[in-house]
Amino acid sequence: MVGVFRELDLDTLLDPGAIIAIVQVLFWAVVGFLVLRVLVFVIRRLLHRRTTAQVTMLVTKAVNYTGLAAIAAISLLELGVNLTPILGAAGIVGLAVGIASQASLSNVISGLFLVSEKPFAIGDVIRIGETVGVVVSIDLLSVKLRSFDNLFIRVPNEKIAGEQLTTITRFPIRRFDFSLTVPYDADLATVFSILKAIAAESTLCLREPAPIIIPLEFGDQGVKLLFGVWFEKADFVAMRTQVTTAILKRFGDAGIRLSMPRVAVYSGGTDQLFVVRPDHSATASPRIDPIE
Amino acid sequence: MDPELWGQLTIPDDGHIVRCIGDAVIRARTLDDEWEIARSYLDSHSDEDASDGSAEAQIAWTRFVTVRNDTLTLKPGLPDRPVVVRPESPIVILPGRWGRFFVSIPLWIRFVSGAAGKDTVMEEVPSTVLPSTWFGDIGTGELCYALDVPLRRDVDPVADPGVATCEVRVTNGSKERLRFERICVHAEHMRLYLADGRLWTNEVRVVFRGTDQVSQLTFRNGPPERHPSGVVVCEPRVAPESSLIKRSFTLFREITGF
Repeated sequence: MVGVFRELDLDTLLDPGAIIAIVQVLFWAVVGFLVLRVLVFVIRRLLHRRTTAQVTMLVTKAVNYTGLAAIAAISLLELGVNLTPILGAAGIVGLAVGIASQASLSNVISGLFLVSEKPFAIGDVIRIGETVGVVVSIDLLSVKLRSFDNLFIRVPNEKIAGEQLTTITRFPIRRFDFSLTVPYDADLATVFSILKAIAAESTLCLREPAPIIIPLEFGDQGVKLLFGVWFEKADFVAMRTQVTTAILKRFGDAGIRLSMPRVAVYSGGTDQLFVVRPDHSATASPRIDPIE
Repeated sequence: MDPELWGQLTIPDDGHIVRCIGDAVIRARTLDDEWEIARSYLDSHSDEDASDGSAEAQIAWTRFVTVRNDTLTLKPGLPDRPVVVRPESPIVILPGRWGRFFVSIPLWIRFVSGAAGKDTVMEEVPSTVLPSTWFGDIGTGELCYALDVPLRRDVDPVADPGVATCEVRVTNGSKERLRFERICVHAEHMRLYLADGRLWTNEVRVVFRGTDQVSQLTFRNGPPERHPSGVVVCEPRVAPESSLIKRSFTLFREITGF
């Protein structure tokens, strides 16, 4: 093919042979682009069922960008453009960009580790530091999350690699621990039987693994308990609502009051004190008892 | 199979029909080119006996667009997950011995549209709301339904139209005692058969090889041995393999003290 760009003058460009050559190069570039699109489509379909979504995305992107670069380079070569200076300039620019973007390079390497380690997949709910969201995409530089209040969050891969990461939806079932404090005068056997009944009657709590009920410590306000129930990961909100409602109702029916912070206020002179105790009934006024 | 419950529904003009299968109360009515279906459960908060019309107003109908003069058929199906059943007390099978057990599996109700001679499942609901449970190790187990009805040694004499009976034959092929307190039945791999007026599943055969070996679980192809003339009513959701190796027992060795 004619090297039309070697002599960039108007006569050369208007030469019918040169015009035909340019059209031919454009034609083959378009064909190459279409072939590349088909290739990417086929690769995506082939990988779709064989590997994870993030690997599919990375491979197709790599093929796409490599193919585009090859089409551009071949087209320029066919048009007679000498690529050596361009590649040389690209090398210098690449070096400069590389030095200026060490953080990005770090993100890329971290991204490769993330892809190989597979700590989570697209669609998983993860927690990184204080950030919780659904993984939307896993790219070479960053992971994109959608938070539950519908915010788009971009987390650099380097940050993920360096911080503790929790994949909340990794396993099909989870346990949620309710922290309860019951007053010291409550019958713990009754409390335990109520909690067991709540778990057994709940449609959202799993029968197995069995719920755990553990007295943790003698606290300031009463005995601190841990009530852990297992559930399917998709039922988190519904289970929490159902069990919380049931705890309040069943404890109320049994006359067991969950402990809450109480304040005793002492008042009076040096020879006589008064203590003010809060009364939990809605209409009652604070009761004042003289202290001997 | 009770024809009063299952089969094609005949719905009166300007009204709806009600079917009670298991704990489920099914309502269906037709309007122009739609089927409207509602379901509730007897132990739910809905007041099934309300006669003042309030219950009627609370019914949540789901509308399915089909064609005019479509047919609606109720067909039985099996659960979409394995079911876990416990005997009333732990069972021990001695080495070289075998035992026959029966599991009553609540059915799923399929609403099938028969437009243009082609059956289309519009919706599928459980006849009884089954609680979920986990069977196996916490890391490698699987999500199942828990059955409240215990494992039986004989067939329930009362044929409940809302359940299918599954015969499980357990053979202890090891040299140790097999002690188990629950068994997992993979209902999603089973066929439903109609025989002797009740619904049966494939027979399941489990061979226990030892504590450190996986149990061999086989779905016998065809109707139960005791009812060879059984007719297939429902195909399995997931095609069973001829010899499926699955963990089917939780073994509690006495030595562990559990």
